[in-house]
Amino acid sequence: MTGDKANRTSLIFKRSSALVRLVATVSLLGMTVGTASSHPILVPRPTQTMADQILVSDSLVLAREDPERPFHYAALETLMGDPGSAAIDLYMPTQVRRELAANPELTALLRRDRKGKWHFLGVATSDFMAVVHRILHHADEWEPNETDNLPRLKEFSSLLGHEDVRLHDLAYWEIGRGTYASIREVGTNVSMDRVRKMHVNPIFFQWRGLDIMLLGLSDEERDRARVVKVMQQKRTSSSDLNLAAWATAYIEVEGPAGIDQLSEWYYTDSTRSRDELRSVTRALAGHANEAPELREKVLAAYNVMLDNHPYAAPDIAHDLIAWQHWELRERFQQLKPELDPLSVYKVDLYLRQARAQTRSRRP
Amino acid sequence: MRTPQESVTALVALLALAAVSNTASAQAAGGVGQIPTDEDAGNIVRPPSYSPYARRSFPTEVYWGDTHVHTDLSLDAKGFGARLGLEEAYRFARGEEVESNTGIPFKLSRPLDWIVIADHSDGMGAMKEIIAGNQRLLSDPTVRGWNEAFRAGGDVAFEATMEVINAFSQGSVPDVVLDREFQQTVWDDAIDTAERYNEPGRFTAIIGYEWTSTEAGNNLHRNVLYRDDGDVARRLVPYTTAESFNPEDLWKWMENYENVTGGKVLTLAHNGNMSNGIMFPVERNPATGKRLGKSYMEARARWEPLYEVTQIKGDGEAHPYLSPDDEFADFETLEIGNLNLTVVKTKDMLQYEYAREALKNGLKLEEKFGANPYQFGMVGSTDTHTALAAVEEENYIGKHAGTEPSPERWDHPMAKFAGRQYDGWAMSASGYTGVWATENTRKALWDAMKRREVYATTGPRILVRFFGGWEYTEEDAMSRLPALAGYTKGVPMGGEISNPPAGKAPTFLIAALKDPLSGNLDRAQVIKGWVDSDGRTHEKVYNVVWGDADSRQLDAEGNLPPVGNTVNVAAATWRNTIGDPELIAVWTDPDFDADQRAFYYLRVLEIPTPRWTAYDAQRYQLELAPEIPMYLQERAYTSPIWYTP
Repeated sequence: MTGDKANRTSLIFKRSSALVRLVATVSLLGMTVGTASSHPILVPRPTQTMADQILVSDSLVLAREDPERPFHYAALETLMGDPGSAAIDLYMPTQVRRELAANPELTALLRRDRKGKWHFLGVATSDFMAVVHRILHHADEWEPNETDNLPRLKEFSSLLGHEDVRLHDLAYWEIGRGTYASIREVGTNVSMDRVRKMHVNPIFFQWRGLDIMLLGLSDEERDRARVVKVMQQKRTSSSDLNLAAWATAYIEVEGPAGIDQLSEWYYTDSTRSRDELRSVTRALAGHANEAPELREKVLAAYNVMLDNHPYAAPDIAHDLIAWQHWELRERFQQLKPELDPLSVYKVDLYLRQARAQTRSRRP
Repeated sequence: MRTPQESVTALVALLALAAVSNTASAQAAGGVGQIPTDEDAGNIVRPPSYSPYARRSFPTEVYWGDTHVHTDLSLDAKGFGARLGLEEAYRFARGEEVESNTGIPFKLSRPLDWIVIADHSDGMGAMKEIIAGNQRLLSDPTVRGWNEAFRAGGDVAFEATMEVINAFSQGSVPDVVLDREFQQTVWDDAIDTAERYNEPGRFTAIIGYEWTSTEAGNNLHRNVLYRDDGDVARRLVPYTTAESFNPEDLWKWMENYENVTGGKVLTLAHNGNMSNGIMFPVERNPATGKRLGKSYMEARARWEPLYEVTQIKGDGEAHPYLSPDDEFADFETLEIGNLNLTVVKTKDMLQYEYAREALKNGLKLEEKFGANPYQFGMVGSTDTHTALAAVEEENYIGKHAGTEPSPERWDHPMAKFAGRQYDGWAMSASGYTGVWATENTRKALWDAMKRREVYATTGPRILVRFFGGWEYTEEDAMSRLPALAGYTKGVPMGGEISNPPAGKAPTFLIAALKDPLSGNLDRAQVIKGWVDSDGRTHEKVYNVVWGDADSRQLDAEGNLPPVGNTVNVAAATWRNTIGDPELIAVWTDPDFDADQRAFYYLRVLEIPTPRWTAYDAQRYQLELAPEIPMYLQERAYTSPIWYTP
């Protein structure tokens, strides 16, 4: 299945409608992460990348601490905006202050937000600043928090695996929040050694969505075998942890047969949790969004799911609208009495669209 | 490393510190863990005996221990690769050689006297029992799936490990794992092991656990310590955050425990540097959003007599931003953000995270509410998740199994998030607690903790005495028996003084003796905090007594020249040719105002010695970046003595 990656990627961006692309813009990392956790080694994903922070800044400067006034900084170079001449009153973590004190040639990159508050972005090493300058170069073309800008994601792809953890993380979140299509586009030139290392570090285990999907895109048999093995394990443990990413990678490895297998494991099993079903549905939808030829198979799987889990109907409503598939109209209508109000709202959205489309097709 | 002269001096001083007396202590005369006050001081003298060692009932020994060790019973420790359990933790603390989680032979330079194994109550033992195939747990299909994955090993076992941790964080663990009966079996096993290793008079296994409130990544953890033996402690299973994230609810659970069992428990607050400004609130309870009232102040004062001022995740005595005039405030500071780094630190948070500021705020709160929630004693602990309480710089085990000694551990982050991380090298090889107790038993140690006659060190076993009263004189310091005068004329660390004689300022008897295996002493400083008539808090650091006194003098502002530095970083060694092995003095507060609430605590600094990073660099032939500290001045912090007008 990996052989036609490039063709399929171009297909989705050339042929898919704006609505499809909107629906396909699912935060693939987000779908692998649960609610904000309370456990010390579980962390939610960041809502802004460093690039976003720069894009929404009022001023950007390189500065050093005034040795006579601790926790006050003097701007040595202005990169953006007009910071004024006043000393910058800024508390900075001790680790950073030590690094600046020990390396007189280094400066700190500071940004002022639009409310006038200063923030520390990073110690300005050469690699770090090269990336900052690239972000500034694209400031007019990029929007904060955008997830569907393929040229922007490409800009960061080479930083995945960078030895400077700040740059690796920046790339990870920029790419990881993109569509699966864009991940397939930019993720193929990533160092798999780095991916494997990240993958087994427990600190990052809730963030592994991107790494898992990259395993599925790997050309090495051991990575693909790992995907299959872990997916089989997840089937028995009933865990939804990173399940969407694993299922996405599994389909990537097994091809269309993977859809049938997932349907059998999850959709036919009436004991599966709603979170498990949602995760598998997202994986199927991610592939079907990108490859229309898979949609019939996915729709067949959805039918199986509705047989065993009718309450999950609203979870597929958006997909069906995006794909302009109205065959489930009557089935959804029958299910409505069994659903809660929010689910009914989502199902009604599909039914209204279906009615509108049907009317417009009448002579 | 020591000269013969130093050894003799140290011995003499040691005897002096283990002072002979015919007095009885205030705490011995009072109830369980009763706080000594200066009113007690005059009532504790008993008829003398010829033998200076006879009829002593006040504490004459420091018992060294660790209030915070995790084993493979803790979910995260196990997740990070711990394979050592309770047995290994106790054996190691008693001084036996143990193979670490990564196969390195480890041994303490000297045994500890006591230890608190404080595994997380949330999910305690769950991972271990799932892996072991506990038959009760295997009745659940999900657990069976995990167990099969663990038995398969490799990638799927790793995935299962992550799934178990995730399930706990999301509250989606199978009911059988949260079942009280299962929890009771784990708790019983932990207690049974503690009972086996508890040898009154030789080694004490204090029963305890950690309640792990970490809402939104902000660390509000507490360690619960039992005075009781296993028969009482096992009657209730530990409190978990499945029941509440609110410390007030933990205190209610403690009260209920005492009512139900007749036992005694206390709690100590975790180092607050990763609480992001909520460890020492002054207006609202961060767990509920409700305005703090007298009930909170009283409950915290009652249940939390101690604070973990230093540990592997950083030192929490003072912060350079809060104490810009304190040249030693920036010590092993670690404050990028909360525990999981999802929220960066801002300067407004700092004042509610550090011990000194909390002590100051406590004075204000006492004026307002009549109760001081932050009247705590100082303890140091490791918080190691390796089961091995090893935090001497040259013998540093690391935070968890992934950071046990290796050429890479300096670069191994403890936590990271979106480009920021707690670097491995920034972890602190710290600390231990010294307890002045009458004997090495659960009850005696717990009572000393309750009355706050304890102090923290960042690793070395510096002996420290600190007494406060109104009548100490230079002769008391010169007598070579400072503890006799100390207990007779005033109160020890943790105590309270009031009712000053007309025109008198408080006096403090101070004695410190170097750890025979560590550096000489640079200086002893009294840290004073007070609140003025306008309700504003202040602090001042006084250099009281110091080494190399013949060549170092205070300047007009009371500052002292640095002691120097003999550290050879490349060789990871130093020489005790600077500083002194002991420091003894009586100090009188020159700025005393009888109308102002105040506290005083002692900070004793060693001369510079190599940091653990220097030992790693030397042993693994590493070249580390210039910002990585390679030496440090280890220290001790005593519990304060409070003055109330």
